[in-house]
Amino acid sequence: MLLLGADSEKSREMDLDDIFLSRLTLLIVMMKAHIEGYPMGKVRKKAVLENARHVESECIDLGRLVPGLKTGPEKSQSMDFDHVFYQRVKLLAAMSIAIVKDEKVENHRKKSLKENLQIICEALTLHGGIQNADFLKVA
Amino acid sequence: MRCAIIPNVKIAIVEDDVLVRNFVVNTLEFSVNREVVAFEDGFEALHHISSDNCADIVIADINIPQIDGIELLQKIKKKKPEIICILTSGSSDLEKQAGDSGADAFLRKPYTVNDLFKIVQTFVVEKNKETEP
Repeated sequence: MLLLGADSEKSREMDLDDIFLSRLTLLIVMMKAHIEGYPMGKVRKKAVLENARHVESECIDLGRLVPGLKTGPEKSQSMDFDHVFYQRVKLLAAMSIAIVKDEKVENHRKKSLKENLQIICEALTLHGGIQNADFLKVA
Repeated sequence: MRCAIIPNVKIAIVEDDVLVRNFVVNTLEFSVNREVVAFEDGFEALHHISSDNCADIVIADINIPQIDGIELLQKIKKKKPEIICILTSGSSDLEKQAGDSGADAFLRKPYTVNDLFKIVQTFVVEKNKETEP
């Protein structure tokens, strides 16, 4: 029997924070797959849309949610890093929805998407990363 | 490098927590680019799965209403042993019972996108490679 998921001693029911972080991770994977040119069929588009809408609506007060979130130099400016990160996640969700709705994503917008993803990933410092997901390259 | 092939796989999710259920559906639909059916109780799921050719893979939480995940798995395996049955739970104490009942995998909560991708890789992609001519 294949065993997956949390370590035995850390096993518990999933809470809202688990769901949100998982959905944010999924959205990042979805958009990276899009940037790589992986096929996005009808069902995938539906999944992206639903996921992005959830992230957009649930994205609040991320500062307490993400451990080790940097509160570096930007804190001295008018907006602190938490707020900027919150806006970036909202932006990622909006970009995802626009892509699914087939709105034109020209080169400069693609560049913005890549930059936004990079900054979000750096802030989250995703450990372990996503492993073998070659199946995303086909539909 | 040869790319993975996604067969026309039918996946069923049985989970009474709507947030978890919807997250799993979105992740798996994105992974395999196929519709995934979802149920919130074991009885409804069993009725659907008992129909011809309605599921290749079933992912069921153990703690669900009507018929729990373990009983659901036992009923499915008795009638259609070829169906891949994966059980999930927030309690690792149920792991042994799941294994003894014939579960193909046990997914301890909280699980991640990576865990769900691993399920697709193992039971959809790798399994399809085994059956390829």
